[in-house]
Amino acid sequence: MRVATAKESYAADQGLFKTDTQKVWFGLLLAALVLFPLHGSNYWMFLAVLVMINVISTTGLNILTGYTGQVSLGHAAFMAVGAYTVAFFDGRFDTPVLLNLVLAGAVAAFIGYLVGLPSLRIKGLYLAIATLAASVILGFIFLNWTPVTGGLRGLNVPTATIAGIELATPDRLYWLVMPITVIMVLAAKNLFRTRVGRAFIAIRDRDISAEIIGISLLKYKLTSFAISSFYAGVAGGLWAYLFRVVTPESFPALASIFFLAAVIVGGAGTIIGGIFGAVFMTLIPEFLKLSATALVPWFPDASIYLAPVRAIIFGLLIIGFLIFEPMGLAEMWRRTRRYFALWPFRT
Amino acid sequence: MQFGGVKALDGIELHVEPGSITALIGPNGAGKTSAFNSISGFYKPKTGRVLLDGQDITGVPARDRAKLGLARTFQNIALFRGMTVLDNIKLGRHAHLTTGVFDAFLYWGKARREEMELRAEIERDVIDFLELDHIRNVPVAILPYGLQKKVELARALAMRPRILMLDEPVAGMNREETEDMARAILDVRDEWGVTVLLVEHDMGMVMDISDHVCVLNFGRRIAAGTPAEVRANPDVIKAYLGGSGDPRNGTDAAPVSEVA
Amino acid sequence: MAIEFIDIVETSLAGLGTGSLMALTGVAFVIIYKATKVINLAIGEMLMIGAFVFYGFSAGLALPIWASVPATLVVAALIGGVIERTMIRPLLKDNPVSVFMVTIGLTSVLIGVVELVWSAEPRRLPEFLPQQPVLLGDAFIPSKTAYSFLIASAVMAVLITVFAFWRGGIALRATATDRAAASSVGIDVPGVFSFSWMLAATVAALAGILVGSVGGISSAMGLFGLSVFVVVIVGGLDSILGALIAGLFIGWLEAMVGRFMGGEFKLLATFSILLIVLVVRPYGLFGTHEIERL
Repeated sequence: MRVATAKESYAADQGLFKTDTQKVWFGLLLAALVLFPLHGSNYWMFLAVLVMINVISTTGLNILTGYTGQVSLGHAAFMAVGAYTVAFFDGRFDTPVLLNLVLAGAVAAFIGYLVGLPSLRIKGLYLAIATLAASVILGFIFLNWTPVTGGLRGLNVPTATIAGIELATPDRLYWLVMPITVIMVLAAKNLFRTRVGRAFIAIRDRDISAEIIGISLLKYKLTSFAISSFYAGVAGGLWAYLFRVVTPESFPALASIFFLAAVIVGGAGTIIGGIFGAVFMTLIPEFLKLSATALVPWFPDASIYLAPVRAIIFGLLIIGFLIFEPMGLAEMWRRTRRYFALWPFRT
Repeated sequence: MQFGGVKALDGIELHVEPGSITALIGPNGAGKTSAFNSISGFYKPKTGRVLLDGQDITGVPARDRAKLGLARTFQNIALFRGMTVLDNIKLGRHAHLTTGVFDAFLYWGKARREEMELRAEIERDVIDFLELDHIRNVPVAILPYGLQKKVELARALAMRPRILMLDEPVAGMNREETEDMARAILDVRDEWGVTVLLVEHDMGMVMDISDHVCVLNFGRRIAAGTPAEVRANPDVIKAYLGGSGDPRNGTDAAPVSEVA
Repeated sequence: MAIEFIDIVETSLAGLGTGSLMALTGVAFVIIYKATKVINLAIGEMLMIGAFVFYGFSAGLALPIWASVPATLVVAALIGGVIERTMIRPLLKDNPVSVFMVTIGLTSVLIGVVELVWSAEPRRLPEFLPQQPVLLGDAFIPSKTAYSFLIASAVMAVLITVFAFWRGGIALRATATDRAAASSVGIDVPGVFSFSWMLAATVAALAGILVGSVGGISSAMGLFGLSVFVVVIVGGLDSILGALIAGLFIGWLEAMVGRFMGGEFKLLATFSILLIVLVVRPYGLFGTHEIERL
């Protein structure tokens, strides 16, 4: 059992990882991420890439909603902005992949900044409704700005090509997506070791006293919106390279609920929670698909019930976690760890 | 200072000497907290001015007053409940730090250096000073009331204030906690040279530690002076024992709150 | 293209017809908000489930209209009560954001349930309103629009009268003002919560029957709720009068924009208005402006 850990310097106490065990776990995780492609089938590689894209996007929403306390109902629309940006630049100008991804993030961040502007006047749930309005308006633009977005038919996305290598299949795309995911998640973790991240949490917890302490609410809310949308934009850009086509249907309103659910189920306001949530929520539909296939011999129509069952389960997960485990999977994980750290004593 | 048709403050003049402990007292609803909120910038008075070192800061928004050296605590604790004691205190220094978003993402070089300096400084000046080292990594939400009040004081101290404004620092505390807090306030004044302005109901504590006391009733100042003078003032006795506020002291001058 | 005057009149009247249904649904939203301070994002889906339950009774079980309407309203009230009791009540003491997100989850659940039972195919409700079109001067109004306008207006009139004079209405307003005080004078506050959700679900279901009888039903008809949302924000979340006026206005505006600019501009117009109102007057035209305190 471990009762406490002694630190010899403040730097050690404020490190990314607080104990050696955590460092070992992180090393193992990295090793697993590197070794995974050796064994993954095409299906699993596709799933892995999708999971990581959702991890990036969920982390972005977690920064805005989980840490800063601003509920966004339009997160998927920012992903769409990123996806369209990549499709537009790569398709039209054949610009390099990494530049496209940065552009995707930047354009999404700029629009996120604009959407955050009403937070000067409105807050809380009114702001959530403003994000909903913004996503409706963005959807209108995707559908009707045909010269740029391709209208109803959308845009085809060229294969991502880096240094002459075509990342045409998920197992190759993996090597683009995986490092970006690791970097962006660690960057988000870093953010909350500094004054910027602390200001976000202060705004979430008690905005009026945050202001009296000298935190500019508007500046930090807008920053949070921009960062969150940047993450969504990059995730959307990677999504475009994975699916190779972007249409107005690519990111429906349900997708925004999907990411909100991922944040809540995983654990709002913890980085690891965002990861848990994204993995869990991405795998549930796959799990349902597998179960439906398995049930076909008995219920031939099982697959037509897939979509409604998925919608019900998404909804029930949101409601259930909010009522019974508002801190999400991250809290369950913490309790489990604590149980083993203190073993054989009961807590 | 008016709320709708209600005049909450009327012709109050409050002068706070640098390095002193000044107390603002009065019965419930006398306007103490309104005066406080006007000085800290949360309310904007309709007439009257707030002066700091002779400079008019009435129009300065609350968040910028933090940089000028004004720090305050709240009557009903306003800590950030989701964070640890340490993070709450660190937030006090926010306005003095400069790390931007990009430095923060990297946590390399500047951001790291600044965070390390901040940590060392806070440990030395605030956490050791107020004896909070045993709870630094505890989430504030689970602390008992008295300690939460102390963490709020710590956060205000981390702002490196020149003027520390305490809104009922010992409300709801038992005798021991009150004495502890009173000692902390005196230490802060003596060792940091901070000017203290406080609102408090606990007369014993106010009379013990204040250099100067100002008594409000019904939004007017009815007395001011040293603790001994105030205690002997018949208007004060009347205000506390019943009867209405005496309008005799109402001046025609515009209300002026002057700090330091 | 010259726009004919009669065209404007007919479009306006049709818009007011839709607007009256938005207003009715908006009233359902306001009832919930007043009593429980919950921003119910699932109001459109509650309307949808009401319409489908009605479909189940009238088409599925082939019950006559006079039986299936009351049966639908009873079922809707039960659904509203169950939602309040199981999903809303446990979180009412928490922050409003959690409850809000629960209602987001609820939208997903309700859509899933409808698609599971009735599939995602659009359907038509049995005809039950008189078929004879109504002529107002030279303007031609489709009968369904005219009758749903009349029914919605009548229901709203009854609701407003009842809230003004009946004891329960006063209890509701007392609860809205101060829960603790209401409870201390003997008002059954949890009862008021349940009642408000049941009543709102009933009103929403009635609106759903009317909306469905005009335009058919589908699992996507909860989108109607988006416009209702705009209505209550514009009118003020806690103002029944606001919902009424804003409902008629937004309905009229959508019809005009849809007729003269094209259907795709409808949501754009309403949501632009929403953004403007949010920024200029966040508490709506008739809502209560709450003063922020420390």
